[in-house]
Amino acid sequence: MKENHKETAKPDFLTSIFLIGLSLVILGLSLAMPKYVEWGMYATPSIAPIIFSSLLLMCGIILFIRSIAVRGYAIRITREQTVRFITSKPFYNFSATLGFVLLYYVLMGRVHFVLISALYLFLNMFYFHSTAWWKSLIISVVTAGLIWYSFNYLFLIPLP
Amino acid sequence: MGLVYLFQAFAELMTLSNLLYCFVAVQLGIIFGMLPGLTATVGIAILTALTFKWDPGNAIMVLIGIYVGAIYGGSRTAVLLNIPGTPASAATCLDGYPLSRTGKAAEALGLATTSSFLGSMVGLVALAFLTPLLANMALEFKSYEVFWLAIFGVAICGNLTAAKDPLKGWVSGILGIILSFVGMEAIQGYRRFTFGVTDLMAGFSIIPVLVGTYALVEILDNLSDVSTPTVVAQVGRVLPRIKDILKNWVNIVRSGLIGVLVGIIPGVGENIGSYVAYDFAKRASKEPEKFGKGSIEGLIASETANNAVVGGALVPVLSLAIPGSPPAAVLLAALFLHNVRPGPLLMIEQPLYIYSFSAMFGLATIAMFILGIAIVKPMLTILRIKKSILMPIVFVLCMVGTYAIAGRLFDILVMICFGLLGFAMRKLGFPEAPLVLGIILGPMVDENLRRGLILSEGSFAPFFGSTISILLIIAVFFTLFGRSKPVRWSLQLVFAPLRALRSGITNRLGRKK
Repeated sequence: MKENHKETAKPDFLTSIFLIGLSLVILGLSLAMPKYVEWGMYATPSIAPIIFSSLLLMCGIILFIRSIAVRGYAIRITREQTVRFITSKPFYNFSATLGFVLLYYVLMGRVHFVLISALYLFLNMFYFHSTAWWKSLIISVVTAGLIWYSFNYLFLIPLP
Repeated sequence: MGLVYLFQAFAELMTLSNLLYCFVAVQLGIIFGMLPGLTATVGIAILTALTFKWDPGNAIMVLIGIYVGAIYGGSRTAVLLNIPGTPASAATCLDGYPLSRTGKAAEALGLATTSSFLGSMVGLVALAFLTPLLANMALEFKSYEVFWLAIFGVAICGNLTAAKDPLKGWVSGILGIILSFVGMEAIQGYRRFTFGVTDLMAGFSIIPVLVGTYALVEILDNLSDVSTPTVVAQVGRVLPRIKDILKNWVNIVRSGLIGVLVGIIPGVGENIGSYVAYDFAKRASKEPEKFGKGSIEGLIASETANNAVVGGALVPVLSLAIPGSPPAAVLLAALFLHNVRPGPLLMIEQPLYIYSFSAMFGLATIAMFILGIAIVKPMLTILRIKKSILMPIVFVLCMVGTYAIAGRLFDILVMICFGLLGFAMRKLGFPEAPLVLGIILGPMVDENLRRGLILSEGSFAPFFGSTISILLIIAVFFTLFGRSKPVRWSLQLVFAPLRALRSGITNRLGRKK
C-alpha cells in the first residue's frame, strides 16, 4: 500500500494543500450563511456544508500527512523538466484539443451552428492529420449540416 | 403475480415500431460499446438529449437499449483488439484476447454473446422481482434512514472505485456532495455558493455534469494520446456456444448473482462486477492456471457479470432513486426528464411501471443476443474509423446534447468545467464515479439531515434509533474502517470462537471419515 502512495506522493502533496485550502474556504463561506433562528439552529442551510467541508478538510490533512511521510514535499521542478513537459506531444495535443473546445464554446450562439461546428471539426481533423485536408473539409461540413438538420427538423430541438 | 404483469407488459411491447426502436437502439449501443472511448454513459447521455422530446415510452426504451447494447458491445474490442470498448469489458480482455490470438476469435465472440445474454437475463429477474421488494422496504425509510443510505452509497462507491486508495474515492464523493450544495436549497430557499450568478441558482444540472465527467474526459484523454489505427482480426461465423455454456452453468449462475449484487451497490458499476466475478471464477476453477491465457471460464464469468450488473444497477434506480452505476445515473436523470418519478413512491403511484421497464429491458436483451450473433462483420469496419475523426464528432454531439436539454449555453460551460475537473481527477488517481454519485445524492443527504433534525427538534438521537439506521451505520463504519488494522484485529478477536468451533467440527468430521 505504501508503495502505491510513494508513486503519487508529489501530486498528492500538492492536491492535499489544494483540498485543505478549498475546504477552509467552503467552511468560512458556510459559517457566514444566515442562521434562521425561527426554524431552529439545526435547520440552518449551512449545517451540511459545514459537516462535509470539515470531512474534506480531514481527508485533505490525512492526504497531506501521508504524502509527507513518503517525502512528497521533495518537489524539484527543473527548467529541463518543464521544457520537456511543455514540448511533449501529449501536452501539445491536450492544449490544442482544449483550445478548439473553448473556441467552439466562445463562438457558439454568435456564429451559425453549421459554420462553427464545421470549423471545429475541420480544425481537429487538420491538426491531427486525420486525412487529406479536402476530405476533412467535406466530412466536417457534411457532419455539421447533418447534425443541424436532424436536431432542427427530426428531433425538433432548435440549435443556437 | 409479478410474472403475469411482466408477460403482459412484454406482450404490449410487441409492436413493429417498438421492435424497430429497440433493435436500432441496441445496435447503436453495440457501436458505442465497441468504440474505445465511447462508453455506455456517453451513449445514454447523448441519446437522452436526442430523445427528450419523444414519447416517454419510446425514449426510455431507446435508452435501455443503448445501455444493454453498449455493455455487451465492449466485449468485441476486448476480444479482438485487447482494448476494452467500455471499462466494463476490461476483465474480458484477460481471456478473450488470448483466445482470439489462438484463432478462436469467433468462438470467443460467441461465448461472450451467449454469456452476456444469460447475464442480462439474471439481471432481468432481479430487476422485475427485487425492485418491488426493495421499494416496499424503502417505504418504511424515514429521513434518518435515507440520510444514512445516501452516506453509505457515497462511502462504498468511493471504496470500490478506488480500491488501491479508498481515501481518494471518499474525497471524490465528498467533493461531489459539496458541489451538489450549489444553488437554492430546498427548505429555506437560501442561495448557497452561487456568488451572485443567476445561472447557478438551480445548481448543476446532472446531464452536463455527466457528459463533462465521462464524455469530455474520454475525448480529452483519447485525443491527448492519438495512437495509430489498430488492425482488426478476421472473424468467422459467430454462433451461440450452448455446449460450453451448459458445462459452465454454476459459473454463470454465480457470476450473474455477483453481477446483480455489485449492480445494486450505489455507483459502483460494471467493471467492478466483472472483475469480482472473474476473481471468484478463478478461485473456484479446477484449472486456475489457464486464467489470463484464454480460459473459457474466465471469459464467461466476466461477460455474464458485467451484463448482470446492468439489471442490478437499475434495481436501486427504480426502487430508491439511487443509481447503481454511472450509466444508470444518466438513465435516472432521463427518467425524471420524462416525468417518471423513481423511488419508493413509484410502487404506489405507478405500480406496473416496474414491469413495463423490465419488459423493455428483456426485449433489449433479446435484441442484443440476435444482433450480437447476426451482425458482426459489418460492425467491425467501424473500428477502422480514426479516433481523431470520431472524437471531435462525438464532442459536437455532446455540446448539442447538453444544450438541447434546457437551451442554455451555461450548461455547456458546466460540461466543459466538469470535463476539466474529471480529467485532472483521473490524472491524479481520483475516481470520477463517487463525484457524480455525490452530486446526485447530495441533496438527499442535505434535505434528510435537516428535515430529520427539524422533526427531532435538534436531537441527533433518532439518527441512531432504528434497526435500519443501525445496520446502515455499521455498514458505513465497515466500509470506511474495515481495512484498518485495529478493526481487522477486533474482528479476528470477535470471530475467534466461531473459527475454533468450525475447525473443531471439520476435524471431527475428518476423523469420522
